[in-house]
Amino acid sequence: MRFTDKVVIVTGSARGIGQAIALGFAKEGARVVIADILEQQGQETARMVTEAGGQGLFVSVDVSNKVAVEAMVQRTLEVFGAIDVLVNNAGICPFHDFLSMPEELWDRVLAVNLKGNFLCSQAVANVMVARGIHGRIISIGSISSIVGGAQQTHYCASKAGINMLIASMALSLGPYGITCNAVLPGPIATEINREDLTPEKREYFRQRTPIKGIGDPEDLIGPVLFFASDDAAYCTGSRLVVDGGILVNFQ
Amino acid sequence: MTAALEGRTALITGAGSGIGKAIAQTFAQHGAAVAIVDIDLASGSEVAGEIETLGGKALAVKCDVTDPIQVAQAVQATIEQFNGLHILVNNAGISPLRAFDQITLQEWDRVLAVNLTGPFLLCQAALPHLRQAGSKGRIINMGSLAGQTGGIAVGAHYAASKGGLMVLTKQLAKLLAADGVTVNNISPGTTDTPITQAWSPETRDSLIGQIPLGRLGTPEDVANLALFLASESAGYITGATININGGLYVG
Repeated sequence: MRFTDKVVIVTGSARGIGQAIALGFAKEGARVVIADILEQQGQETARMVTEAGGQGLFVSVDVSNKVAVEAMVQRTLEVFGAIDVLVNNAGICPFHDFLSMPEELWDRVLAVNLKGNFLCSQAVANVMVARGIHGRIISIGSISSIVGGAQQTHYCASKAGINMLIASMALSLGPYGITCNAVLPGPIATEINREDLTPEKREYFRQRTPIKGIGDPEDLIGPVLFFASDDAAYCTGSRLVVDGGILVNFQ
Repeated sequence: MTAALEGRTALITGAGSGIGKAIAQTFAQHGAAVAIVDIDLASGSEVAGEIETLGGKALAVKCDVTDPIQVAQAVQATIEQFNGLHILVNNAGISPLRAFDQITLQEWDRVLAVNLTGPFLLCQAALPHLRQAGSKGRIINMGSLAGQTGGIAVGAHYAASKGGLMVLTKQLAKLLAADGVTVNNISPGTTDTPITQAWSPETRDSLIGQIPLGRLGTPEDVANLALFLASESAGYITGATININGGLYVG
């Protein structure tokens, strides 16, 4: 039980990878804030967190909205009294052709995936610094930050931005004892890519991914909890690719 | 103390001191039987003795990792003692500080032999046993930040050898993934070990000043990352290079 009573915010944790991470922390005793725009699934995940041995709290938030993010941080402090770990997981990936991509779609993806990371990290880091908490910020990036995707020009750019945001935050927040790291998943089957993952694509990824093919949300639990744990005290500005070897197989 | 590595056998080269010693101690604390492979039998035996006193299983083996015969014997001795080999940690390394124009061919050859040919020989000798270990099989190579960046204080031979090791990691990751064996590369920054303790106080202090977390890494920091990579929860990570440097390099 590495996280007994630790307060962990996981954005985008109503489902998918975020939900798996929230439940992973719950099993180790954490108090977990399910910060998501999806009300019903978020409430359900909060209930699952409590069932799994943690304490769940759902907070409705659009991570691209500064006022909403600040309210989410306030609500966390009111209920749990501290913030030890922030997992920036919320993200969207509306697959779209580049040539016809509407400006609004580009803006929305960058707002949720990158600006959301900035807003949540800044709000939480200010709490950590003010209270002397040697906290942990972990962002869920993607191997799409390293290899491009024709239908994901917005998404790939946003994820590459996360890499450099986390690297620069590591430099900025290191002197306060706050570590900032990124976990970069490969293809993981979730709602975000359900429509894109045609049988042909699944087969392609299965052939290309040396270990077990497409990953599961649960494959991210160990890596995220490692960065949040005492064992990773000296890791900051690090990127951990969790992809069954698909990236190295591309190279 | 957990049972994360219960029933596993680990062979760790250069385990008589520094990072290798910390890895051996950490693995043993978490249930692994450890072969302490070192060219200096006295220090290896001391580490093995300490582990046994604490109730762990350890075997000290004298081995020059550049000699294929001694490497084969070390693997054989491990198998005979502990019935199998699941985790290979290629940690043995040397780092003579030398200006580029002062590096003799002899010294170049020696550094490459210990730091790169050694892991090649160990991987080859351990291959059938690791394959047998299947999804519990792990190769963990001890790279260096210098292998990515060229380094600051270290010699060109050292940096080149660690760059080579990172690429060896990638190829072996692809080769062994079908068996479920993962292969990863740890890339420490400046770590407080006999190698860096030999540096002048000025060199050490100037480096610490550049580290956002404000301290050198400890062998235990690195050992905790190795433990994570050896554990089941890192099963979907392969071919990765993971930085652990306190923010010294965040690229």
